[in-house]
Amino acid sequence: MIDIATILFSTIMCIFVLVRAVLLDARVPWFDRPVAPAEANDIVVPDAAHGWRQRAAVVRQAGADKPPARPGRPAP
Amino acid sequence: MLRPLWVTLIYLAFIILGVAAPFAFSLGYVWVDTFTPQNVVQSIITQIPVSMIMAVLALGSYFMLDRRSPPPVSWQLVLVLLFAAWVTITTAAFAVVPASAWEKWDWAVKTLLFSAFIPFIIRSRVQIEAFLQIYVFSLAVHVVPVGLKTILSGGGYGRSLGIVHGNSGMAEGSMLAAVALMMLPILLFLRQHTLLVPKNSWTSLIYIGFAVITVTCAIGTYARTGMIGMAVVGIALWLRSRHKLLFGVIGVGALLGVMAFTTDAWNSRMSTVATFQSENSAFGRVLIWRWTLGFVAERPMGGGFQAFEINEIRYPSPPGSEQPEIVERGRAFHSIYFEILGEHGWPGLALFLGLVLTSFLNFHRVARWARRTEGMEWLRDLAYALEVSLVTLLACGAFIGIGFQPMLYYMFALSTCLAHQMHRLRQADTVTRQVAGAGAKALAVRSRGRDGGSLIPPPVGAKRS
Repeated sequence: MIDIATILFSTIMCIFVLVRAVLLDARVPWFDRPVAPAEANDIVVPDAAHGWRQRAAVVRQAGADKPPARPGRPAP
Repeated sequence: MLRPLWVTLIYLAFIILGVAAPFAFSLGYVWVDTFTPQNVVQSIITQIPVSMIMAVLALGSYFMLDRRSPPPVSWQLVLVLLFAAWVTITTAAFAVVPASAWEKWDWAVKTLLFSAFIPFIIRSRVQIEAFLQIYVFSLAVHVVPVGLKTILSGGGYGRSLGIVHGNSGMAEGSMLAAVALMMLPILLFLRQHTLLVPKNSWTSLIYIGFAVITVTCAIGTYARTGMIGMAVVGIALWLRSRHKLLFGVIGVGALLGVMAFTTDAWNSRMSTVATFQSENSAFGRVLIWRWTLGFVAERPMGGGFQAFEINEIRYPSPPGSEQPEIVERGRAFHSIYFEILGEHGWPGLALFLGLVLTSFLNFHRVARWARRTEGMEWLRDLAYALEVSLVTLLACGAFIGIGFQPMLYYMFALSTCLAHQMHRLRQADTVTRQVAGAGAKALAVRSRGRDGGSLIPPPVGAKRS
């Protein structure tokens, strides 16, 4: 009974830790200040916005009033 | 029927998750190496080379998919590769029992090479913690049954309480006690700083319960090495503790508890540490160490793996007794230092001690930097925990032949992982400061009307490439 319970405990914990590690390793920066897992779950990486309309939409969502300037060009 | 199926499924789960993240293959190798599914259950898993498959997948996936942020070449890497080369030379050129020597070389060199590979694949905080968690929970399968059965029915010298039976590897009492005590500081660290297991009172209780079981396991083996290990780990943890008074009170309470609950059989066995000359097992160690010193005086390059097989130890008969002296052949070294000295000579011992020294230096440097850096408490505490674990293993290892067992080399490899982590964190810090400086300059340029867009480069190292 103890043997079976231990095998279950050991293997379940290993797989639980492994799944969490695979998920978190993709989110938490490798060499940055520590980020708690709860915060890491909230990190949303926006898709690359192509074209000024999409860039403007991203900036409006972020609360700014103007779209960002493209490198080497004046701001619109 | 269900047990083999379950363990096979767990093995497959490591492979499936490895497809998503290559470091899972390496953790799978650690699991196979530690949990030893082929010994725990009788199933198809015993018919296939589980360890080799996982090693090939780990190496292949690293070289094909995952060569990000490799660690710089370190002294530790050089030393472990030199050590692997040296043990191969001693096996090929100086082995006194070549057949046995090549048999041990086969697994020992894999341990050394895998430890050299670990820093390449375990590079982030999450991966370091995953390595530790999987290592301790894999060891649980050997430690927990012995610890629990000791609590329920008492242990006993030579009693087979674990899942794996026999008198080698994790089934051997002294080695099990050493490993169990080595886990103690790691478990205390994980309880405090885990990212992967949700932190709450239940999980905290699991870690504390697990830590208590490691101690009862060490007691239950009736191994004197366990008692020495308990003293070392207790003192080392107390020295590293920030609450020395509280820790001291708990330690004294635990000691009184051990004295109250252990049996006379345990106490009388432990007392033989002081009177080793009247006890064959302990006195035999002293004799074999003497033999080893004589052996390397003749063969300074060692006698290759398993060189002890040619020895002949003579136990002198007690004074005034008519008993003939007892002769024992092929007595094992019973000490990592004498094992490496006898097998690989003075150069081998120097390389091994070099690995020990560089590991302590790594832990010391990491702890010193982390102590002075905000938000790095986890790194400081991990360096301390692994340092205590290594001290415990080295102290216990003075009386057991675990010179090529993976736990020592995992500690060496983790010290490199931590040093690498510190190095990259420092780099990221420097870049952040430079970026902040560049940002201030850019603002100044803009305020003079020279708008050239963003001059601030993206932070290097702050994001996965």
